[in-house]
Amino acid sequence: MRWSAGRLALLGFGVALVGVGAVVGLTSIPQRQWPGIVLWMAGGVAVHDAVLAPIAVLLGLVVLPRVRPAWRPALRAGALGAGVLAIFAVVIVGASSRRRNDSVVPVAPTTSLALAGAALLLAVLVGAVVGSLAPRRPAEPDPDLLPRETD
Amino acid sequence: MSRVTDLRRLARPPDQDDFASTVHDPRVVARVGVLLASAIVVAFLTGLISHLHQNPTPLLPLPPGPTWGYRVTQGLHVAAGLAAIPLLLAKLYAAYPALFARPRLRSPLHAVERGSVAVLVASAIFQVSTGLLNTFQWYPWSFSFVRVHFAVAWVLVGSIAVHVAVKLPVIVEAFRRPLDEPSEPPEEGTTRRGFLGGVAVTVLGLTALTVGQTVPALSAAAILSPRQAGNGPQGLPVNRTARAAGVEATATDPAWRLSLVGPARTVRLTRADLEALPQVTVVLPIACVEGWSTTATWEGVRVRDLVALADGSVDQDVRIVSLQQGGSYRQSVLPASFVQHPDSLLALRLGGEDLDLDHGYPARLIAPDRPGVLQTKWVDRIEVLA
Repeated sequence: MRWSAGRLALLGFGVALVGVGAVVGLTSIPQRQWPGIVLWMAGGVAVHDAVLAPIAVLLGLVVLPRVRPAWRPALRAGALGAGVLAIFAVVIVGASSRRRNDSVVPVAPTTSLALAGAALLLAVLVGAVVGSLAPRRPAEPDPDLLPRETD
Repeated sequence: MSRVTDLRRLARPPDQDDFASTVHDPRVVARVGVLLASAIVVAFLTGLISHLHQNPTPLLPLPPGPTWGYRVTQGLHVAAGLAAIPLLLAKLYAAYPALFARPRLRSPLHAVERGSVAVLVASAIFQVSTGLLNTFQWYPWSFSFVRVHFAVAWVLVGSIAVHVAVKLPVIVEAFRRPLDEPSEPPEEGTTRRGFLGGVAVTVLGLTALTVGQTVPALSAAAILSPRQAGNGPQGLPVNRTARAAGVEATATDPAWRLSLVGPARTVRLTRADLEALPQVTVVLPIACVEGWSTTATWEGVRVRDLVALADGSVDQDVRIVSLQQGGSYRQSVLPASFVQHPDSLLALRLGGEDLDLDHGYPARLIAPDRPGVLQTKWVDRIEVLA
């Protein structure tokens, strides 16, 4: 696809928005805070690329081929849910030990994470059962094997 | 596939072609990308509204209505931001093989494209992770969250627009091709639609377990949210306690007087004086920038009546100053349109009781369609601005 006027405008719009962010950042954020920002920016990418993504790839490579095909979509979604829950677990446990008053993290982390984990497990089981019961799509018939119409 | 084969594949750096699953198909990547971009754009636009509330400009004045406006926009802001977490993980997972495409750099333009993707990924992970921590009031960093969140939001949305412009041919082609087309090579059990369904269920599940901090009907299910509607003193969560604000002594001092600073004179009122003035009862939500909100019944004196007592004009903005000696929110400016609104009160009671000390006793501001941090607590004086 060629670079149409609309596509170029979208590109320019995006570059302009990034520029606004850069100007806002450079004019409103003290220089001494920049190292911390860069560290968090790079750290997030590093955690994803070096930890989360390889774990996901390993699961896909090692675990999924060894389970029934009908269960794979539910397990893949379950892995996504488990990843999200793991992130929340870190935040909830960390925040609960630092909370400023009783209305922050009002549910005990053990209770909330156990309930959320149970809900996730239930959803995966339901998904696996539904996947097992779903009718398999019939294979496309080979046109060469179809009976030929005769006059 | 044997374990030996698995180990051999793991022993060398992967290539894009090693990721043969149909979940890495552009049709999946594009659809998850559209959902993620939608969530981020919603968070960006609602974030701009919150920014305008806290940094008002005459060019874009915000009205004091609807009364639930900020509750909805900020609730959406946080809900969309949280929904972006699984969407971002799914997008990165689906698009991950592109990281190993060879040759690494085909041309200067390709280098620019990969650089823009790096900015996009870094800013997206940064925004959702620091945003999540902020909702839990956990700040393991040394920078100003509000300023940085605002600046990086522009970078993130801009880099999404750049990415869409660069990838537009792939995106258009991905939406043109049927989603249910059999994968090549055949992959038993895994479908593009199945993967997208799993992502949708995860997003909806996370939303169900968090949105109860602002949707009362789902409050009991909000086990992963930092707050629950109705949980706190007098049924309201608290952001900053009187102790943390350092006002326990001054707020309970019998010598407390509210100062009404008008253009020509200052009036001082005791709490008993305030209770003797015409009282108004309003039902208004208090909605926090961190996404939680609760509707409550407030009772007190109209701000416009207090301005009139100091011979001030309701056409002027007023400054509400707290007993707090420091902090970013020790004072707030109430625009004239909010001063004139009949629901803008200096609240003395909450739910039929005197305000709890952590909710701003002896008096606090409550006004419609306004961030909680600007509903100044432990009010010391009200100044009519010239």
